[in-house]
Amino acid sequence: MTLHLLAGLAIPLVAGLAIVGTGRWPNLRETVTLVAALALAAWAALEIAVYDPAASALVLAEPLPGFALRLRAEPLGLVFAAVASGLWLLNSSYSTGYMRAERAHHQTRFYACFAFALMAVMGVALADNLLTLFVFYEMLTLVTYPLVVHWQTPVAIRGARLYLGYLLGTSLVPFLGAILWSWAVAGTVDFRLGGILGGHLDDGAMAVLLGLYAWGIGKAALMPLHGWLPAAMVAPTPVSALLHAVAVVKAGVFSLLKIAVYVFGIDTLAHGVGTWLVWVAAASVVAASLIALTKNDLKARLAYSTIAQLALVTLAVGLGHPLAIAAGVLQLVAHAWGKITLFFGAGAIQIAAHRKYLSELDGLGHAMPLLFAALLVASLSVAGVPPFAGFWAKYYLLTVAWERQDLVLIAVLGLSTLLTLSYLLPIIIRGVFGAPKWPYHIDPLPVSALLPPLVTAAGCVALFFAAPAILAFILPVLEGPP
Amino acid sequence: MTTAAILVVILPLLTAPIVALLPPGRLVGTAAFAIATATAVLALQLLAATLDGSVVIHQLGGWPPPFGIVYRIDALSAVMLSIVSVAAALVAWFQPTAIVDCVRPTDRARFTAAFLLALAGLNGMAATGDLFNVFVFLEISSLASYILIAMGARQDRRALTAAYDYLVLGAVGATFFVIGIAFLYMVTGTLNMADMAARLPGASPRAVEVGGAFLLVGLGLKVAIVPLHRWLPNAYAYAPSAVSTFLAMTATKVALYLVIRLGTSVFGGNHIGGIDLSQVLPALGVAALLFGSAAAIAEQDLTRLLAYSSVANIGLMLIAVGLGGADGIAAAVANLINHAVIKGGLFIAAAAVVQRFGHARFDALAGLARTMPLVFAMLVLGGLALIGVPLTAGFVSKFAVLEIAFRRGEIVLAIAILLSALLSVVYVWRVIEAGLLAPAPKAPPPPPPGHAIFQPPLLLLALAVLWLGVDSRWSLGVGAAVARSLGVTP
Repeated sequence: MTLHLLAGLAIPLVAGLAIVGTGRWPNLRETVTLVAALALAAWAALEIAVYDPAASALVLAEPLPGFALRLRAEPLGLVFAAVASGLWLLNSSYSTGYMRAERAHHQTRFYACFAFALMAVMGVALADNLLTLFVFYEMLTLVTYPLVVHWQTPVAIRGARLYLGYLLGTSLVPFLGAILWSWAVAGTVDFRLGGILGGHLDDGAMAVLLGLYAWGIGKAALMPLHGWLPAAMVAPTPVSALLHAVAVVKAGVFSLLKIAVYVFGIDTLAHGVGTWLVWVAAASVVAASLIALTKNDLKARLAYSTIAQLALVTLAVGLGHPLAIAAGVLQLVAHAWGKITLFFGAGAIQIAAHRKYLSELDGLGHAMPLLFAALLVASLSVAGVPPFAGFWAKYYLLTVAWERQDLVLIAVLGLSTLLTLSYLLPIIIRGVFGAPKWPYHIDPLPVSALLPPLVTAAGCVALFFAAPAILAFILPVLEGPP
Repeated sequence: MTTAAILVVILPLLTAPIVALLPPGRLVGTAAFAIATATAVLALQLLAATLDGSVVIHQLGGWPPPFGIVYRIDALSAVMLSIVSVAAALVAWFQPTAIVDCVRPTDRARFTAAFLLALAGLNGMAATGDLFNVFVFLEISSLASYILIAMGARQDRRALTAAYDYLVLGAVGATFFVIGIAFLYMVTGTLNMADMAARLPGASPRAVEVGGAFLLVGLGLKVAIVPLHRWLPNAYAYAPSAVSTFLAMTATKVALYLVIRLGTSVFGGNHIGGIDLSQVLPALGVAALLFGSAAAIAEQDLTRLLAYSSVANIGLMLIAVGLGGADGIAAAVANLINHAVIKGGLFIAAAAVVQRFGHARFDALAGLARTMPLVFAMLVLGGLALIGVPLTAGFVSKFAVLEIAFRRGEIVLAIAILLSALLSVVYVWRVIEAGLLAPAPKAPPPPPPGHAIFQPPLLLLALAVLWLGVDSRWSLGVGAAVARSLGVTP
């Protein structure tokens, strides 16, 4: 029996309900969140440990004849589930410090929606067919809406409208259309190693279908449908961290990866179906990086950085090469740890020093040395400098580009790293070398908000060494059907 | 069982005059609820008996057809009877509380009698196997609805013009319908539907074409197909909230039932007269879908917004009927069931808001998430279902139609349906933002006495929206059984 998969959905669901029930006692409520996060992380680790490729799928329900809600543990999904659940734990600890320091209202709604969002993420991770993926993908959009609109200011309401409009609009039209189209030609919506579309469509139609998926999965924020991501920055910082590092964007690129591997099949993509996507994604990388350079608002800068970094995953999908897919998975993992550190940092600066603009950071590094050290590590990791986690993805992408003798692509990848360094490092440079322009007051940072960025920064180092293990785990997927 | 076929009509029809004579008081509401519930039980029994494809026939006065009138209940009729009667029972449950503000105590008995007459008329249309009898019941239900709608006048004088509009347009529709019947009677010499179906192939094609056209336009008015929808938004908005709930769950659907009936059992081949429904209805449906959704966006009043959304949803049903075939009919029936559940829940939520705040304009919704959580939950859930979010009944409805469109290569149709979701996101989200984000009034009026009566039907329908979204056996499965019993070829 594979009922244990259900725990991945049940733990956050029960936690969410318990949070609503214990809303009156904040300490108890936060304990519920932390215990649930711990349980979920343990569950994910256990699933990886006992992973059995031959295990059968778990059918939850069959809403329409032939379209079942079905879960299955497979390497890509388990990696994603582990990343998301692990970071939820750290994020929850951080949220406790942050939300209390900000004296936020509606905290019960906040924690409950967080838990429900994690449930949706687990559903996306474990989905065994396109319908299940779609169901949980939509659920994720809807339960994160209250998080984005949290402050309920006019700006927040407008931002949340954009968020919802982009994500529901893209998923209800191109994504759902693409799913139905795939079903109409392949006769199934199941995920199968090697893909279900091979031989059913000519390359031109296949490229169009890939486009419907690439933009239909609006959460992947492929330009020009990236507008929701900066708009959603109005949310509290832990939510931004969740959107960028743990759940939403990651669910987007993860869905793309899954669809590339299990619906199109790596071989099919390699025939040139994805070539156009490589260039669109490459343009997205460069453009988003350039925009990031111009942003003074820290969170906006990080938001555009996310668009650029995750376009690399889309680029990997377009390349349709086993190594590229591996790079995509590693990028997903590494970026999660790096970007969450940066967001934790931005939030910590906000609650302790009340600064949110790059130009205000001068000299802060001396007051918060540990935090800035963590930020440096994360910046280098996101840029892809060894020995940090982000290196491997860039390395494998370069290898593929080299194999293809594609000089332009090599140039783009190199440029991306340089641009990343030039929009992230100024944060640290200003903090450490800038002379304070005016006296500032720094509140003590709660330990619960300082510890998480330090842990995730350490994770960026650890993941550099753990990458081979991850690769070995997902290898069967990359090798394709026997 | 054959008596049940006649009882579902006779029971509310004959008890209505008795209820009208009852002294004002509790008894009226209780009697109406008891009668509606009994009717619903009978209808569900009929459904259980006919889903396997068998037909329940009752000959009035023992006269065999084609001389006498027969009541002929097949799966399609039984589905319709069940929707109407269950809706009536739900509405009868909270109706005594909901009408407190708009119907004078001395009028309540007669109001309730009109409600029972409307139920009898709608059930009659679904039960009878005689075309002229359909017309008679159409008139009974319409006349009763005009009265019911006009009863909203104490709360909003515009109910009078709304009822008058509906009266004029409804009369035009009924006239077209009866002219159509006359043409068919002229060339076939029978009013019995089964008999007529047998004789139509040999009848003069021109008279059949003209008659069919009259029938379709007459029904089009009753279905509220754009651009014949003008009566609907005002009628729903200004009628007493209990009436709009009942009408929204049933009235247009019974007219649509007649379209399906004529297109399958009478004319056959998805034609009515010379009109090929598969040519006409999808286009009309897309127009309704896009127009209704767009019009809903501009509304400032919850009931009017829901009314326009109904115009749009009718569009989706028309597309399903137009696509035809066994799967098209199944999808159409699934849409009928799901839409009754979704809109029923939403209109009951609106009724609860009206009862507490006196109206359902958007400013009454402010802070609803805190002041009336269950009502707000229903609005969110029903709204998501209208958008077609998965795990709600609305997703099954939409997906079933989309699936057929994709399979048959009707890409333009599919794209139009997909795009309409964008419009529905906008109007649904206006409701959700109003309830969730607008600050609650400092001192909201306390819940009026008996307010809790709305909760059981709300809870029931909210669960039904979710259940039908996870398990489509009760929508698509029933629809497939209906298509089988109608003998529609795939």
